[in-house]
Amino acid sequence: MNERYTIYVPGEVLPKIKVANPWVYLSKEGYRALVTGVYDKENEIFIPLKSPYIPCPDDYVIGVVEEERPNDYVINIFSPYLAFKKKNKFELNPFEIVYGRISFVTEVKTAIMEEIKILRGGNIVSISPSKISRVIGKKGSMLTLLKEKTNCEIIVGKNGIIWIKGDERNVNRATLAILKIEKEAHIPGLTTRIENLLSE
Amino acid sequence: MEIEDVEEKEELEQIETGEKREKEGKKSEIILYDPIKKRIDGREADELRSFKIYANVLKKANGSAYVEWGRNKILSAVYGPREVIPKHLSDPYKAIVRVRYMMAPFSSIEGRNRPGPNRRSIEISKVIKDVFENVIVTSKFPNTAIDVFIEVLEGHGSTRCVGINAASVALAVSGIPMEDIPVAVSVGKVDGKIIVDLIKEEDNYGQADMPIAIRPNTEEILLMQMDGKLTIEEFKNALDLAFEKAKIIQKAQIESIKSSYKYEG
Repeated sequence: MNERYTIYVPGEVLPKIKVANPWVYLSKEGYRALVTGVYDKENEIFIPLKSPYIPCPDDYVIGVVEEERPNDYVINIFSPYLAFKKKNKFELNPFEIVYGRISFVTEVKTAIMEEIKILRGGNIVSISPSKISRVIGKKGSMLTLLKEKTNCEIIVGKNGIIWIKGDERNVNRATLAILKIEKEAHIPGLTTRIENLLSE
Repeated sequence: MEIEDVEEKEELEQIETGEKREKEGKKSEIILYDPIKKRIDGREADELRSFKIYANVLKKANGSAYVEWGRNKILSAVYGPREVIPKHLSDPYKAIVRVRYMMAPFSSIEGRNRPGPNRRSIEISKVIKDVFENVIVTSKFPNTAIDVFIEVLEGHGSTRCVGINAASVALAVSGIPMEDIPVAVSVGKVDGKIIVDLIKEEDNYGQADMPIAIRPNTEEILLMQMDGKLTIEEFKNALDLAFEKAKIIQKAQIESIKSSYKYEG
């Protein structure tokens, strides 16, 4: 298909890799892929195309408040595990979209959140967490492009949730562009294609 | 060439007189294998049905696949890892795998199936669950569940094998870590001949059928069930045939996954 990125499926032997990440395993023949992903020839790394989000300390994530309990709030961070926020002066209501930092992850992988901010209005788009780095781009270049061309407020969470606020037409354009980034991140010439899409 | 022809004619005569089938024990009512006419759908003994695999067909599921295998039509979807409900089923050391194999009420040729689980589908769900528990790296996601759904829209023999092939493609594209893509194929015996990929009639009236699921990279067997009788020699031949055909299916599965990510303008 192209020279830089090659798709590998689970069980296939990978070429030389620089850093072993959780998505590969060692066998007799060498490192094999655990998920369907792309091998980047230039950086010698293996990146999954899709992955579930596992909470990790110091990640900034976007979630939705699910319920209020006597001592804390339960927040859905679009992961197999839930997040909690201890009650203080700050009041949250169910179905509010919040942005915050994960301060601590317990041994059963439930997350404790801090520095919560409420995001009022706006829409959320969900993409695979492994594609978030492509939405941000090198030194935030892709995100700046999206913000400039669509005139929207955009906040990106590390769990694959993106919050967009703006007028309806621009929100739709930004959503389309983000979904295109997720779908075509492994095909070269992404920035030009996104620029073309947004300048139409 | 001549010697072969004579042998074939002799075989044919034996079949016509019904001697050979009586010798093998079970007498089938219809001729399932004929050296000249081949099998009832015209295939060779070691020929698979034509099949197509499509990956990523459902938008909401984490992974999905649709397979057309002869007259079989099977849809598979994978959700998870996600929260376990009811909570007491969860395992604090690993993810649990739940499989639901189900035949649609309109899938069968013989009238209507009752919708919902029955004795047969519960058993098949259990054996397919054992296949996937051995390839998925469940220790990465403690306290969660991985749900695999296999819906048979139209069934025509070897549905559990086709179901495994569909579900393994769905799992491979879902982002759930797994060490290998399992491959399943059925082998059996009709009229004294070892055949591969049985259809419904061969399954019902044949002498033996044996679905096998394997891990192609390590060549380990994940599922093996057998109905009927095979001698040790026949069993070894059948196993070799299954391993040979599994490689063809594995290639098709990988091809279908890779083609679903191609850029289309």
